[in-house]
Amino acid sequence: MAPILEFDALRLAYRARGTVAYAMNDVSLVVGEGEAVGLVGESGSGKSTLARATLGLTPRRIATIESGRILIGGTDVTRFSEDQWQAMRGNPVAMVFQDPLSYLNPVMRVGKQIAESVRAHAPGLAVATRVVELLSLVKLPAAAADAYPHELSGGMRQRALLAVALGCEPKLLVADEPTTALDVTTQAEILALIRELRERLGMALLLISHDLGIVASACDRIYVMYAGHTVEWGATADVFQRPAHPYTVGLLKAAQAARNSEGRFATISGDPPNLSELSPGCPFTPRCPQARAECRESMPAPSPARNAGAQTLRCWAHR
Amino acid sequence: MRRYVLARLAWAGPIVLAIVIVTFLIIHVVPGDPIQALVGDFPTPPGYAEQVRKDFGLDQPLATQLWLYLSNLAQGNLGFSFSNRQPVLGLVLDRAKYTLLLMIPALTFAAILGITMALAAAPRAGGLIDSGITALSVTGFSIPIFWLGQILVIAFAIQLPWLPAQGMVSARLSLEGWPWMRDVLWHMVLPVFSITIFYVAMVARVARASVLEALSQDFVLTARAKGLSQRTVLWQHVLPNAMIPVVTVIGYNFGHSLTGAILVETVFAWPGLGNLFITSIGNRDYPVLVGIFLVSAIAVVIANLITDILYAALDPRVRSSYGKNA
Repeated sequence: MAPILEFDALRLAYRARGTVAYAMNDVSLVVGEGEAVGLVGESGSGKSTLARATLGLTPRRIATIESGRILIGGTDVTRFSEDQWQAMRGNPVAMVFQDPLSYLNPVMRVGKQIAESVRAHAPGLAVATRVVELLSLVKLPAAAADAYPHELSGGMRQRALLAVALGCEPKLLVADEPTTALDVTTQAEILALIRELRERLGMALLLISHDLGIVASACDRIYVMYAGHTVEWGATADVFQRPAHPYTVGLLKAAQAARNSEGRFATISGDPPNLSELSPGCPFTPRCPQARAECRESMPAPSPARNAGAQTLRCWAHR
Repeated sequence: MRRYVLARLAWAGPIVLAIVIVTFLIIHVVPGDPIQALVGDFPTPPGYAEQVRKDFGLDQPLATQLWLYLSNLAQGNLGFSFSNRQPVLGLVLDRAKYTLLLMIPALTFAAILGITMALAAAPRAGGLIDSGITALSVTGFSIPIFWLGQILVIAFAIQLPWLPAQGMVSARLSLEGWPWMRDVLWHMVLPVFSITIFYVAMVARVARASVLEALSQDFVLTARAKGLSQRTVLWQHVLPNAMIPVVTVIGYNFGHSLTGAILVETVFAWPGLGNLFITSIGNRDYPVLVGIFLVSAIAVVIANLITDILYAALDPRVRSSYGKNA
């Protein structure tokens, strides 16, 4: 069976007023049916661009896919027109966004925003009944349908946004930093809800976050992204417990708030690369403790990790 | 909400009173003598001008005149027009009616056209349609309205004798009922068109900016991610959010509309409030001038209040800020 979502060596550039930014440089990623996949990376690594690209929502005027392919359910959507994309949005792929207040229409009742999804994707159903069903699915009271977004709490808004996405009956839910705008307790509630919904509805999940803990708790497999490249991927346990790529190693150390011999927090030294330049080598080379000559020359093909878990990575140190 | 409206109305009283007092004083400070204007340059018997001055109470000190005016005003009496020889209230309201006859259709067309143009232009900002509409609206905004009126008269009343050049009714016909209304409509075409051009340009500019702003909001992405069509996104999500600044502009202009058509009314000899204003200045007809200021001040206050109520209708966040039970 074809995977629900596939990125194949995708390169996407933003061009505006003579400047270029390669938000995605060489991204390969697969999400199977019903699978929960995480994508981690720091700010500016191309995570949100990837999320938008799964729905054809990168701004057409400035974003171009320069090479590679995107497949949804086996269909090549790389060169889809706006009208063709419209037929893919919501079903099979739906999305929830980061900040639930700004991503809900402030002057439309929540119920109506959910009803729009239902009408667009399940026209046979009794809309009002379905809206109440969806609200109870995300554990919101039926009365929330009559509320405006600003009348709800942050957690309730994120539930409402989830209901909007679920109303489309998606096979894949793309969640772009769904808990970042929420406080810690609410984060846990929303994550538990997403996990529960995924099991109940059998949908696949692509969870995008900079928060490693969130991804670890919710996903079967994870991808680590750096400067527009997917650099390491595999089962969550393998990647997190026995990281192989030097970037992942550094990221995990930083996340665990590990201290170095001088008692300072471990960080990855240096800065992320300038996305406006394309270099043939590995983008992590300038910051990498294990950098060698070939790292500057080219990016290696994916290979299994040595002395680590069963994950795959693109690193000369593991060739 | 109700409490808010009542508070606003309570404020309206002092505001209007202040406007009346200030305009009353300003008019009397300006040089010029109403009696001179009334009596004219003809030789008059000695004492005649003084008699007229006394009849109208203009020989009293200014403070007394103001006091008399205000106490009359409290009884709903706006005074008596020197030159028209009739009560000011009836005169002003009568003329205001004719001004509204121009302004209501013009502002309605302008609102509909301007918003439609903005919705066509904004989604492809910088494109051909957008540049065309922007150019048109800058042109419409920059053309002096009286010049446009005169060009229209030359083109459609003189070169092509399709439409009447002046007035509100055909003077030589005495029509009633439907034929009269048709005649008035016929006379309305050119002045309404001139005013519409100006306001369309203004509404389109503001609406384009606010549609662009709304288009860049995050919730538009959610709406598109649901698989809604461009059209639905534009009409259901973008437009309701873009309407608030547009309503401000239209409401503001509606408030000023009573005196806003002075130039057009002059060009087309339309018997509206603007026309009355110009002739009353010439005649130094103080009570009429103050009456016009009073009526338009009230119109501005009411239009602003309606604009605020419309805000609340358009934006539930505004409703909440007024308080649920207020």
